[in-house]
Amino acid sequence: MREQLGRSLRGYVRIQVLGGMPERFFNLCGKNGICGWKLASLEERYEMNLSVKDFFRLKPFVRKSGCKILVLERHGMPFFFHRTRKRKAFFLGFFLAASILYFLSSFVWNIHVTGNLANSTQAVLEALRQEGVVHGLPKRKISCQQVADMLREKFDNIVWVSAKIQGTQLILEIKENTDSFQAPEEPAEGPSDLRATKYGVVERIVTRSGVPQVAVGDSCQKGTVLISGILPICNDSQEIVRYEQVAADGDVYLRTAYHYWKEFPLTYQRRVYTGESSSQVFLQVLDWRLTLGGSFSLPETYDQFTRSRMLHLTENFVLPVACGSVETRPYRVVEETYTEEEARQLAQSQLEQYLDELEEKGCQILAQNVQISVNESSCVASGSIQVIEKNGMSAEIEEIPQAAAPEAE
Amino acid sequence: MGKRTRRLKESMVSSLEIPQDLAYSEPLLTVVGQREICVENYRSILEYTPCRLQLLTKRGRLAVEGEALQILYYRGEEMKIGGRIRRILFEDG
Repeated sequence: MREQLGRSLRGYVRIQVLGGMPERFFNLCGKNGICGWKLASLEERYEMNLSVKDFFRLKPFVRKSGCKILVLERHGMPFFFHRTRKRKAFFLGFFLAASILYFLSSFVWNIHVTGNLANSTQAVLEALRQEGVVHGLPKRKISCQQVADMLREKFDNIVWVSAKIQGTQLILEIKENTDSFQAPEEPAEGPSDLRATKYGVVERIVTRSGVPQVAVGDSCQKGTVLISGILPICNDSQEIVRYEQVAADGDVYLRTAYHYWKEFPLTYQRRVYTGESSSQVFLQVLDWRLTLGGSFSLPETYDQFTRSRMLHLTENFVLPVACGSVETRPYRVVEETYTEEEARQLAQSQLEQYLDELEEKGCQILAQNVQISVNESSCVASGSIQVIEKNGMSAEIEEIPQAAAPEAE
Repeated sequence: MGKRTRRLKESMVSSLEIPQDLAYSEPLLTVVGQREICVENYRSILEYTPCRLQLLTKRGRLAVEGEALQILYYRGEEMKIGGRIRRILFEDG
């Protein structure tokens, strides 16, 4: 393919060899570095292709072998230019196109991001945009090293970045830290107690630092100290010599209750689509929108569904041009009433959703005692939900006991 | 080349592991099915008709017979022949 292109650029001719000693002619050509191709033997004559340069070297070999040479066809750029030498506008256009192509090839027209899983391509592109690295920037203004450093600085979970410019494309290869390990919450720096934030019964307690003040089965109120940050230091006789203050830390699980109350009216409004719909096609450039078709007066109540497609010049180079369609569907508002069964189902599904949310927060649900009742105008779900949940909040130590003075011997 | 000289050459070629086509200037043929054949180390074209191409090599004559034989390209020592190849013959010089 490349060879064929080179031949076309340099130009070649197809010649006919007649009479004499054609084999000798071909051997002379071969030995003198004249390379022919597509040599075909026809009746009493031969045809082959030769480059223009080689064609002008044939004269001595033609004389030696006694052959005659005829040029059958001329191919390639030099002949093409010779044939079209009078078409000035064509050449002007050709060179203009070539120079525009050359000029445009000095810009970055696509930013390709690979290897990003945690950070979206849009987030990476936005970070680049803030630093002035955008589509259409001249290549010489982009320092790959700086781009890589900037991305590593901006995103904590990016551990390695390779930035390179290939053609008119800026390729960013990213390696992210995919470990799900997260640093545990830093305990309060100063001395502190761990206090309950609501009423409950202690179910489990694990103390990491401090002195536990409650045992399993104890009930505690809001504000009760669960783990104290005051550490008594005893001597050999088990007498308290002094107190040290630490930041109390531990896991305390309380059995506690959530009160649940949810009420909704039995009547509700429902949208009934009339079945009519009209579509409009639009073309948007920046904020200016050209809409075509469907110019009927808008009804009182309607929904509009818009499908829009941005125009991409390259993979990530989005032009501010969009096209799409807007579908308008008019509707009527109808007042309806839930039946008792429907109301109960809805209340039940709301309750299940609430329980799921509690579980997502890390609560272990022990029991739920929620009654659903339906009266004339509304449906009420009320009751309590028994859960075990992690509790405790760091709070300042309020009172520091004084150490008993050691008895003098 | 005398017998002794030839033997000496053969033993040197085998002990030095020199490719034999280089050492003996033998033609090297690469045949692709029935449609293409590449000949290296040929000396000259002796005869060329659409159904027969006879080449001179350093070790005798080589003839390729077939139909619509065409020389796809040729250089000083290498040539590629296309067409429908029927027979390849080695004729002692």
